[in-house]
Amino acid sequence: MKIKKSKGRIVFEVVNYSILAFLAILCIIPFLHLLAVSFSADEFTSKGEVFLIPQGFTMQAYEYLAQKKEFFTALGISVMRTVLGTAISLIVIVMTAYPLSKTDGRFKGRTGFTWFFLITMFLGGGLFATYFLYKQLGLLNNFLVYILPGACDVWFVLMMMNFFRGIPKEIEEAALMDGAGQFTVLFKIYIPLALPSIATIVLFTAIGQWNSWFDGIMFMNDPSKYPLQSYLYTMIVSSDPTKQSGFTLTPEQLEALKNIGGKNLQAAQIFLGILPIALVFPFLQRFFVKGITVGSVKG
Amino acid sequence: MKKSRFVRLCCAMLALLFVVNLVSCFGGKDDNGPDYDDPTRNPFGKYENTVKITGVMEYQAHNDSRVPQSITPDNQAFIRLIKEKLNIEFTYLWKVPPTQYSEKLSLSMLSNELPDIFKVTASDYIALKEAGMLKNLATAYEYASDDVKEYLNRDPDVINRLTDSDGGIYAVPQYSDNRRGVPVMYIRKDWLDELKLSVPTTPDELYTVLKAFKQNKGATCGLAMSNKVSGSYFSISSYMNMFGSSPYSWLLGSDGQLHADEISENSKAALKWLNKLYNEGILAKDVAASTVDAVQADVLGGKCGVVIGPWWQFEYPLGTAIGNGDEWVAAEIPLAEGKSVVVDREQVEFYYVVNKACKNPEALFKMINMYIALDGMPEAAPENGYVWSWCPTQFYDPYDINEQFIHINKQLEIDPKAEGPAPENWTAHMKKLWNAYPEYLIWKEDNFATKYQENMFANIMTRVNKDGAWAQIVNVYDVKKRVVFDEFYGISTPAMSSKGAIMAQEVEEYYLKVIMGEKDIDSTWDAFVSSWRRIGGDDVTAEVNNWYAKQAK
Repeated sequence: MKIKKSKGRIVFEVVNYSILAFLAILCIIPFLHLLAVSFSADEFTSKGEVFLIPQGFTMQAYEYLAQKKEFFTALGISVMRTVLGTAISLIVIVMTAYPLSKTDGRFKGRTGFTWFFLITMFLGGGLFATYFLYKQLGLLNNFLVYILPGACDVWFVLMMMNFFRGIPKEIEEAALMDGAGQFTVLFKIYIPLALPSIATIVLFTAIGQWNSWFDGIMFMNDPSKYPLQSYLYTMIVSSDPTKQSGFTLTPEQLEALKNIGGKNLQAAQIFLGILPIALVFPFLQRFFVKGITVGSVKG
Repeated sequence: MKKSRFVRLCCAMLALLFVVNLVSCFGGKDDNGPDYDDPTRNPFGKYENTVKITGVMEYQAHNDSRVPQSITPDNQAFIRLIKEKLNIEFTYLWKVPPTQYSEKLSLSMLSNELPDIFKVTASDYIALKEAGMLKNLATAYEYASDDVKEYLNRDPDVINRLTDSDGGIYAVPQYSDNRRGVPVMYIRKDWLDELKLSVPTTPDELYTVLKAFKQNKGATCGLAMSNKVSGSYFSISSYMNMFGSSPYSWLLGSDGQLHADEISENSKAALKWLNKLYNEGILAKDVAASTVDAVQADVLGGKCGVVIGPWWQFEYPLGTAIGNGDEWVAAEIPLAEGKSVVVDREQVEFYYVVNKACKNPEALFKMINMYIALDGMPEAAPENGYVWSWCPTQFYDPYDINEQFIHINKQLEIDPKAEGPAPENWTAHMKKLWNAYPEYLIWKEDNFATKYQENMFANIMTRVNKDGAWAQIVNVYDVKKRVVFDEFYGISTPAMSSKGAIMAQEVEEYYLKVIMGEKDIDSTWDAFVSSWRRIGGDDVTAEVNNWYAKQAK
């Protein structure tokens, strides 16, 4: 069915699209700037002369990075924690949300269990208690510290639970009537129907995993076990000369200050740090479709 | 600088109060058996049995391409050398970026996993000492090598203040020369020459020069000044120093009491002067939004002709501009009549301490001795896997720059072109400067045509030249003696910890508003001062003066 466009509609669309396009450009500019800086020579970047077009084009930063072992180790750890962390999170979240989405009549003690999870949303132990707990669980200096502690995100459990509840229970009843078990119902019916929610959870968990830096720094004893973001933190934030203590830099500190990779190197690292996760977006986009359940139940 | 240190102190104090209480419940390791003792007190004596020492590390990547790829903090040359020469087996319990060090250290204290030797701030040191967790180093001090002894006693007061009445001493302080706190003015000589102006010596003359720079050279950022009152460089306070003002310092008044300088008449005069500059468009329009990075871009981009800042500005970041052909020279800070610059009375960067349970406190000194002795030696070359920033016992002569300045200039009187070899007894840094000097002369006489070696030439302009940066400091500090001291060097007082952040915020906001003319200084100054007093200033002043009275005893 084609809607005939009135004049007002056309004006609206033009304005609408230009505002959206403007916003889109605003979002893209920082990336382009970063890219331009990473390809520019330092003498231009240090003067702040690079905006969107590289000045004094050079690949030097990328060439230097290509032989930097630490960068790739950290990248590998980040990829691993993102892939494994997201997969495990997803399994745990779905398996928790499914039973909790049932009514009290079918799952006795459901309210108790729900509160058990909910409480963790409001009360946390703080850093000291957390550190102790991890120490006793043997998670310190262990790759699993990236994955296990945050695997069951209660917020996402709630979201998933509500989504499951929104699925008409007639579908489940019909399946059970036809002899399906709970696992069949979950995997054959609920999960396919919940794809939009699952995509959302995958996206947020993956981004969360990719971006977290603090756990690496606090719970790992060696920088060689840092994920990419912690590595970037040590390279960029904590070597920031403006954070040094004033007049008293030692001769060696000064030497180090001058040897800090130029702005192009920092930009190149940040850009490569964003790239993999940015590439995930387009692949998940197609799942953000609602209304698959429309029409599955008559009446 | 003052503020960040201050805020850090506040945070550390709070964390420590909590931690130390807990730790004292857990108790330390049992210490049975006597400590190691070597009657000869040999500073470089090799242990017969391997001694195991643990430490922790503030980790920063080194970015030195000469260091082989396979080198890690655990296998670097220093660790290898102390095993070989001293029979010390050193291991790191953990490594963490400097910004997270104190947090991680608190966690270590809590979980009773303190290393044998580690670095602490003043407040950590006092808390640990009071909790009885530190080793008395009185005997260990006897193991210091001659060089280290000399360095530690550059300012004997520092060690004296640290020593208890019964002779106990629980830390090795790394302090630094308070000359380093004297700001230096850097100015575009090529612009001055072109406009036939001379180097300004007072704020009024500086004002004239800045006006000319703005009109004729298009200097849109008159002073290299960021929006931060304190900071390592480009801070507002370094400019306020021209008027003898130094926010967050405590100066002795004629009444024998210490007074906070952020509310002094000097500070008011300095702000008035900055406001005049702003009104005439000499300062950057968006001074409230000027980050250090943005200002740095202006300086390197030729939009700024005057920097007042620390002694090392030639080395960073002006060296880059000089390499590009901008001619910067150093000059004394143009002080207003009768005013003096404010420097810290005592500036201890950190303290090395030893865990009470450690049986070999002298190992700390042996390692410091080794670090000093290795300076400039071939086995300590980066190519051999030596990374100075990864050494657990970095230590430097507090008066290093002053020593370089004095000794090299003395030698230059005999050998003005540095053609002969450097004297044998010099430190490695002095020799490096000496060896680079002939090439520097060529570069200079060649009218900067030959290739500029950023590091070495900037070093020479800073530390050696009679018209260099350090020479200006010597003029102000030693020759003209135009310095006054910030007398408060204690740890943050309770009121500072609880109210300091709010007070600092008030100061920062008010200063920027006054500079930008949003508030008229004459009509609002008194209200600002009384508000500052009310929100905590009076309490802090009382505590600081209490502290000061105790020091005098």
